[in-house]
Amino acid sequence: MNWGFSVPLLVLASSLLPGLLIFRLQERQHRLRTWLNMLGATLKLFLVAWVIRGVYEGRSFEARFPLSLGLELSLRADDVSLLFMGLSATLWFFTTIYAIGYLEGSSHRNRFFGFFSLCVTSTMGVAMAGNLITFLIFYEMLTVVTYPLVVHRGTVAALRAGRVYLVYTLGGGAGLLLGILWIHALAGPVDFTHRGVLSGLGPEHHGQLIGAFALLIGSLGVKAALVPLHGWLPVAMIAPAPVSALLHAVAVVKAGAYGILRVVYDIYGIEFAAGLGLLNPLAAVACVTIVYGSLRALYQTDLKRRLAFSTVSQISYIVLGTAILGPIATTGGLVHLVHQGLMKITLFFCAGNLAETLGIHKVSDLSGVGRRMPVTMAAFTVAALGMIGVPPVSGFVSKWYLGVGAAQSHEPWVLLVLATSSLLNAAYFLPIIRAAWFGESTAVWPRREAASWETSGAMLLPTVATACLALAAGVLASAEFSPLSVAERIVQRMYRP
Amino acid sequence: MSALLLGMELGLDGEGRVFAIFLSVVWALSGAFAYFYLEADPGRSRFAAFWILSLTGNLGIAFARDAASFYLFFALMTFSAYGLVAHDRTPAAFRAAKLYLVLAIAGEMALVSGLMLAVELAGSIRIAEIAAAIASGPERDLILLLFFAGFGVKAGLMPLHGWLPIAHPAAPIPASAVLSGCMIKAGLLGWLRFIPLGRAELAEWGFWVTLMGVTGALVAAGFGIAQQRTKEALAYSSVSQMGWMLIAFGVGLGAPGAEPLPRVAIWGLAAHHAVAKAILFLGIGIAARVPRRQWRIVWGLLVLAALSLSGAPGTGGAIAKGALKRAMKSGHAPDWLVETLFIATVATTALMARFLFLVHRERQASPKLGAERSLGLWFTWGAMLAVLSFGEFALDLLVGGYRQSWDAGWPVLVGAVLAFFLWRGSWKASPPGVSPVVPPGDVLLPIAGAVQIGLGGLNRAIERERKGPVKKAGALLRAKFSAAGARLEALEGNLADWSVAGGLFVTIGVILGWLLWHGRLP
Repeated sequence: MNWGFSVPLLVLASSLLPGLLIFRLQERQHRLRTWLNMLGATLKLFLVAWVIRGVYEGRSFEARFPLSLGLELSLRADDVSLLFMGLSATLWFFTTIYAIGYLEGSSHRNRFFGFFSLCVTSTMGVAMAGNLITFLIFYEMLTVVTYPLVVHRGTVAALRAGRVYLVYTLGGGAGLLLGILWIHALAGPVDFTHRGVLSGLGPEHHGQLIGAFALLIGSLGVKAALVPLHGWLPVAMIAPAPVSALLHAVAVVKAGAYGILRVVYDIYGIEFAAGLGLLNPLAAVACVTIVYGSLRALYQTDLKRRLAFSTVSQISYIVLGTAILGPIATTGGLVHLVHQGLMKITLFFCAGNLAETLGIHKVSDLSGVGRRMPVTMAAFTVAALGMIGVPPVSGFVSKWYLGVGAAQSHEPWVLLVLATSSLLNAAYFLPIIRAAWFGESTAVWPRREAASWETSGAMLLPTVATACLALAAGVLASAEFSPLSVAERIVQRMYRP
Repeated sequence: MSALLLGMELGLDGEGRVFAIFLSVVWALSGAFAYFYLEADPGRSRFAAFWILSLTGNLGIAFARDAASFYLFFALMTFSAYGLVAHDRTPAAFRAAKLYLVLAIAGEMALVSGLMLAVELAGSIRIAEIAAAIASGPERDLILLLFFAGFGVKAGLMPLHGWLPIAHPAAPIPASAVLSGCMIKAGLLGWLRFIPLGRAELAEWGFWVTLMGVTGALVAAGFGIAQQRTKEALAYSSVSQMGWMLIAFGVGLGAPGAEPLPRVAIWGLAAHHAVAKAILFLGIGIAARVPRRQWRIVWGLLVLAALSLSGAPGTGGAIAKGALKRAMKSGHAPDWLVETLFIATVATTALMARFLFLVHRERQASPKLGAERSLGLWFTWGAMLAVLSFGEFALDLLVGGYRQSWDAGWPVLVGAVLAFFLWRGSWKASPPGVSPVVPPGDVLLPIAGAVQIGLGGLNRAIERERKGPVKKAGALLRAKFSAAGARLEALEGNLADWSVAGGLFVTIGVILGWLLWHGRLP
């Protein structure tokens, strides 16, 4: 059996098949559903680990199918996709456990978990996409299958949020299609290749290339929450916590940022893009988003909305890393993909814990919760400190690389943006931590049972696990298989002369 | 260790050893004092937890050999100290702690930015290599500015010192002792580690830094004399003494040939100040708790410690300040600079006198105390006094056998006389509890007010932006869309009519036929 061909398909199938099966289940068969979920998640984790090891040993994993018109569906596991695949598989595993605990007793769980699995399938497809058309197919599939998750609760507000979400993302998808068509018209159905494929085009095409770039980035920027296309993100917070965690740490926003990464590195090529003068405007947009997101977050009273704007800001760190020429900045952007995912998912898990166990939705209700839910707030503290950039949590490592990279390419104004953003992060995270640990609790919360944990194990353990991972990624950043080392390896190949 | 963080490297060099020694001594003895002092405090274990974390951070800085670990321990110390300042959990304590943290984080942002620039310049995160690379780099001035500002917030550099007189007094006594004695030195160590002394390129910086040191030493002493409470006065004294160390630092920067004298002088000043300041702070704690008979002994010992801080002949302070003088002479500092030391000593002595007066006044004003068990407090405080006395010899060894002369006594005498007249004139008569002429925080207060107003305005602008024009535009667009939609509906309705549809069909068919007929090409 040709493993190189079938493994990418197996990775997709490991969540697609359970998802389709779950749709067929009856609502009361929750044991079977849980089994299917966990089986799929575990299997995917193993497969991705296998792929990672295989790629390190030099094997290639690629599956190609011809579509019509000379286009091909191409699924490939190269080093950049490994980063995203590893992150997605790991976080899906934890989110599945979390969702099982969170949705305990609620209705329509078949529908939820079915679309949940499809969502991860699409994310894996996006990660493994070997060319633009494959990317587009799975990107749009992602849009469609996340809509039912956003409107899961079925309330009027949820439906309205879903509508906003669709308007933004389908608009972005249309723009993406146009952009891809434009690239195909200029250069044919190109694959993602190290160092880009467009540098061979002569100067007469440069104007069009710039236009296509703007269109592509603008369309991908909807999902990547670049200002002013970020409006859907805070509105989508109406979704249940596992969905927010997934959307904001793994699937949707990362897919957008990942797309921007691929376009800049593997379609245009970083040096060619720099030559066309595309990087500075991109960096400017990223900086505006970083500061704007942090500023808006400061004034949110709802916890999840505050975290949403924080995501808007943090995803642009990845875009910023992409937009600065130089290996160190690139490393910073790439590794922030992983680090931000870990930290943000921890924060959303904590928000979900607080909402489900104690009914806390607003920041002002958090006073004194550290005594009632110490483990959750400890995880929140670790992740929040990482967001601010305090060592040894992993957020510090990515910010460090971004800063040193900016210094290397002689753009010290980026340091000012980073410093301002860190200050703003501190301004909206530290009061939460302070209130939780140092405040007096005035509200009446449900009492904790005698010998049990502060909340259900299914919700608590993933929170602790992702917080530990966020911490470990920083403490052990220089170890052999840390996200940082992986990113550095990728960048070495990217900038090799 | 290279797998940790960004390649963690820990080790002790000579400078690290000096700092590690005096820091650990002061932390340990203050900790022992805290054990007895906080016996009745229900939040003891909380305090102990934050204490240990801050201690780890403070000591870790001396061990760090690479920039990332340095920053790790620095940040650990900064954030843990919040818990110490806010320990009492009163609104005032929280306000002070918040101010402390805001400024500390701002300083850290400047510091990290400087570190990132410097690391890029040096191509390595090892501190020794960074310091070596800075002097000759192109962005030298920016990096130095960031380092001075970043570490300066922690070290009480004027005008970034405003948080000190607010935060140090808000903490419990043992915490104030280590805040003023030890944690403030973390900023100093940062300067010593990252900024290379004795390089010719930095001579100009040397002048300005020395000037800032002189200003800090004098102005802070002046503000301190105006204070009405003991802890605030001591806090300003710390700022003033850090000014002395800054003078030494400036001399070292500006005079390449003087090394290693300025550096050694700084060590001496830092070590001595740490012990002396801790004694003074802890003395306030004891003063409030001992019975009447022992009170005079306490006050007498405080006088001795104050004399040591001022640099009276025969004390460790004199040794340290003598070392500074020698460094200045060896660095060919201008005479007027050496003379300012005279004035600065006068000011310090007057400030110490003010402090002693305030301690006395607070003791008189407080209700009759004395039944509290104070043996443990005496024991630890006494140990620290012993360290101060015997430490003189160690200091002598460290800074190289400066033979004391009685010259050192003149400025102290002048200061004492000045203080006497002040006492007779205004101090004796003014009532306690009055707001000081210079409120603690001085320059910071108007700035903080301006920032609050600015942020509030920004918030209001953002809210207006969100609610106003965007919403109106959205409503307008929606109205236009629905109007267009209605018109389309009407049009479609017309098309559904058979006659219209049939006519259109025929027309299209004819046109297509004509095109096909004429489009046939050979």
